[in-house]
Amino acid sequence: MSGSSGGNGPVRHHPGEATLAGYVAGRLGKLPGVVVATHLSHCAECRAVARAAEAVGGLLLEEVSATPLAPGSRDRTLARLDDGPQAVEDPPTLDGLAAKEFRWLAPGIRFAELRRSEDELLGLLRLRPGVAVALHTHRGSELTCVLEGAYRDGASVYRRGDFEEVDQLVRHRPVAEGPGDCLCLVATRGRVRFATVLSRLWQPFQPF
Amino acid sequence: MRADYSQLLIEVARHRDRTAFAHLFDYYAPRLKTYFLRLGVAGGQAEDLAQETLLVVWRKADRFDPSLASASTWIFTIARNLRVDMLRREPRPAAAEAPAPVADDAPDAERVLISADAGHRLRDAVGELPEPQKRVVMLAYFEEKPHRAIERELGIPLGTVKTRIRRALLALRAAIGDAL
Repeated sequence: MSGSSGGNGPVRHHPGEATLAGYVAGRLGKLPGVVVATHLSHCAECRAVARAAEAVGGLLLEEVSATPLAPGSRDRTLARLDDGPQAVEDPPTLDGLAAKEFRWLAPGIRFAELRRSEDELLGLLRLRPGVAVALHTHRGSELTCVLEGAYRDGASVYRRGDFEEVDQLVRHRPVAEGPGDCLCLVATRGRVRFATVLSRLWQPFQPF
Repeated sequence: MRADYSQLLIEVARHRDRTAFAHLFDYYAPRLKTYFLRLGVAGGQAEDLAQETLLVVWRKADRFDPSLASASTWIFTIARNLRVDMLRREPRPAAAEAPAPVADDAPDAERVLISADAGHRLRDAVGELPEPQKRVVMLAYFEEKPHRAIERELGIPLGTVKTRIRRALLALRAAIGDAL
């Protein structure tokens, strides 16, 4: 079994089981879910784990007790079968999201917002080689999937398809590796206002 | 029995078979209502969401592929997607407690592929999970319980919650691996 995909070497850094299970269970949130889904598109092994976890969800659905429905519930539902198709939104994917323009955040760092909700932010971060950025949320979590290029964080190098997750307890300081820019999909979740996200979350540092 | 539900779904997809749909409704809607109730949704809305899930099943039945997933698994993912949608709109006091990352040091060999044939093995494996692991997985999947809340509810440390979830998933993964 090979873990390689995406034509750029094997994916080496994966979400933890708790994150995958949270994604599958629907607990992770919509925008962080896009980052996990993007990793899954690069990683057959994690796709398999996610599918196994979904199968667990199906089995649990069979195991739960049945709660009686209100009288006439089935008939009311049957009567609605011929209603026109209502908009049923599939979970968003990276392909389905339009990015706003990249904005300058700091020297060598640009950010393009894809979508945000009250406590989630999803966007693309573009780092010039050699530029370090300290990413940390005030509280909450942060998920990253590399789309192009690579960055180094401590002893690890994250390349296309690789996934990194940090929470507020972890300080990390990724540095983009050359030769090209490093493009990452990043989602944050936590009780931070967007105005403070920029100042607290994307604190730029010059290279060492 | 489970194969029957898959067959009913196929009947719905191919022939827009309302009788088949009614059978699916009778089996799944009360369970879906339980599912949404456990997520903290109020009774009336839980019933609405259960109905809504079945309506999506009707509309998207042609997307069901029995070689990829069981009927229950497919319907679970539809309910799950409705849940994610719902989470976005509802206030959620637990939002600050995002799932904490767990160090992923599982060897790659353990990341096995699942086939539809492995479904039965997986089902047995879930049945054979030690009760504490099963309970934790149930809470994590089927109730709006961040790990911290599970910690409080079961009176076990957070690290143990994470370990049990991790062990349960590894056990399930291993079971699927054996079936390949």
